[in-house]
Order: sequence, then C-alpha cells, then structure tokens
Amino acid sequence: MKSPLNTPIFNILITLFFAYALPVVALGPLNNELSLFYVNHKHPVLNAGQNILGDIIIKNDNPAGFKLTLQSNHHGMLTPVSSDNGELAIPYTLQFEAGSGRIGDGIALNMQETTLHTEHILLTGTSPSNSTDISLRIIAILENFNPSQRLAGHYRDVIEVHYTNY
Amino acid sequence: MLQRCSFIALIVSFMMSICIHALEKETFILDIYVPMISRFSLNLAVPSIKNGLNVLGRFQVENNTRDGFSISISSKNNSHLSPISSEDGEENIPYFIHLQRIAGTLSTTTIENTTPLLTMGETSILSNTLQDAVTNLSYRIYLTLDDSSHLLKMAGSYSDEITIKYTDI
Repeated sequence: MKSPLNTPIFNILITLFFAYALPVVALGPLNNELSLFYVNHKHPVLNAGQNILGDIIIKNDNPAGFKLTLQSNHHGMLTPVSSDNGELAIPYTLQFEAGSGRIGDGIALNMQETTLHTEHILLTGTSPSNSTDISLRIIAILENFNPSQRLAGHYRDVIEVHYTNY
Repeated sequence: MLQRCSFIALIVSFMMSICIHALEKETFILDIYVPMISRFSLNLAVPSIKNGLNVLGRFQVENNTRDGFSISISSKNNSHLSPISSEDGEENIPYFIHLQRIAGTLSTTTIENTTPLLTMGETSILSNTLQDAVTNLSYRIYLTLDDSSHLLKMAGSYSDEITIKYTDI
C-alpha cells in the first residue's frame, strides 16, 4: 500500500508550508533567545492595606532587550460602575517586590510605588549584556478603606500588563 | 521517513513560536462589590394612652448608601388628640413626642432631632445625606400627654395619626 506521505498531494502541502510558514518561523526569536512572560494570579478579596494581586514572571535573553509596563484603565482609581447612590471612586497604589532571580545588566527596574495615574514602566532595556530571569510581586494598597464600614457600590478597575520583546 | 520527521519538527517549532509570543498582555482585575443595605422597621407598642409618659414603640434604621437617607414624622392633628365629636364639650388634648436612641452610634454627618415639634407639619427626626460610615440606629418613641384639664377622665373618644416616613435618597 502506497504511503500517504509519498503522494503528490502531500508534496504540494509541504511546499506550501515551507513557502508560507517558514518565513513566520524564521522571524521568531530562535537564535538562542528565550522570551517568556506570564502571571501567577492570586485573586485576592480586596481589603484595606496590602492585597497581593499576583507575580509576574519574565525570562528573556534577547540581546535587543524588552519592556514591561503596567497601565490602569481608570488611572489608579477603583471606579464605581454606577453612581445611583452617590458612590465615589476609591484610590489605590501599587507596590512591587522582587522575588527570586536576576535582572540582566542593562535592564532598568523601577520598583517605586506608583499611583498609576500614568503608565508605569517596570522593566526596560534595549541592549542587555546578559539574561533576565525574575519574578516580581504586584501588590495593591488600599488606604482609607475600612472593610467594616463599606458603603454600598460596585467598584472596579483593570490593570493591563504589557510585555514587549524587541 | 526523513521527510515526515522534518515536517513534524517544523510543525512543532512553529507552534512553539506561536505559544512563546502569544502572551504579550495580561490583566489584573480589581473588583469590590458591596451590596446595598436600606432597612427601616417600626415596632408599635399599642399602649393604653394615659396622662404623662407613654411608650409608643421603637424604630430601627440601617443604611449603607453614600447619599444616605431621611426619616420624618408628622401628626394628622398637629400634635393633638382630637375628639371625634365635641357634642359633650370635648376638646383637643395636646401631646408631644420625644425619641431616645437605644442602639448605635451617630456618625459626624448624621443630623438627629429627638424632640420634633409636630405642630409644624412634617418634621425631620433623622437624616444623613453624605454618609461616610454605615448607619445602624434604634430609637424608642415616647408620647407625653399634657392632660392638665383632666379631659381623659371625661367622656369622649380622642385620636390622632402619627406618620413616620423613611426615605432612601
């Protein structure tokens, strides 16, 4: 019985694959580059004080560098979904803690507490001399927020974390 | 065989490259939901009204909305027990209301009136239109009858209707 891999149809498919898929594959970071970005979410019930949102893990050995930024949809405010009962937005800030790992030389890390009124650049560098392999903890701080005296309302914000591998 | 292995290897590396570069954005969702509490209850004592101090009942209010609430009181006969008829010389018997807070703590933004004048129409007894804390208060309602003319000892039927109104703003 003739193998399906030796049929003309299969040869055509292989040719098409090399024509269209190979350029896409070739443009990716295959030259000893590692670019890994993900988040371990903690999903905390928000209360006054510190709330651990999760850990960002970055692994990168791209000689062209990378960037990691955080941006709040409501500029650092837990915004009421409606104001039917006079709800007001609740401000918060973000703090950062470096976990295990290393930051590559040439990569700048900004762990200053931020109000997220503007975009916060957490990691950036365009010509590192060695790799980055780091875990960064993201902590939301809610002050002036007494859980036992919560006023009614639905308050929400979304923080976008953008990773760009150059 | 070599052709098949190469094909499989290329497919695997192609899929890996997609997976490695797909996660370029993550989100943290911060969400707080506090359900609204707006409760008012009135417990009537239904006393046999006598001259002097009478306990009419008590009310409780619980509210956690920022724009708050108001509670008012009014008397149909302007703070008088009025006779149904005056065929036998019956006259109005004046009374006044006062409140005693029996549970809860007032916040700094709550306005409390424990001696409302019911001769002035509808009168506010409790309000808070800009709450910064949850309200949970209970009051006892007293009616003090001033029957210096001893009308209650004489024949007659006297009544009034007191309305306590709770509004969630």
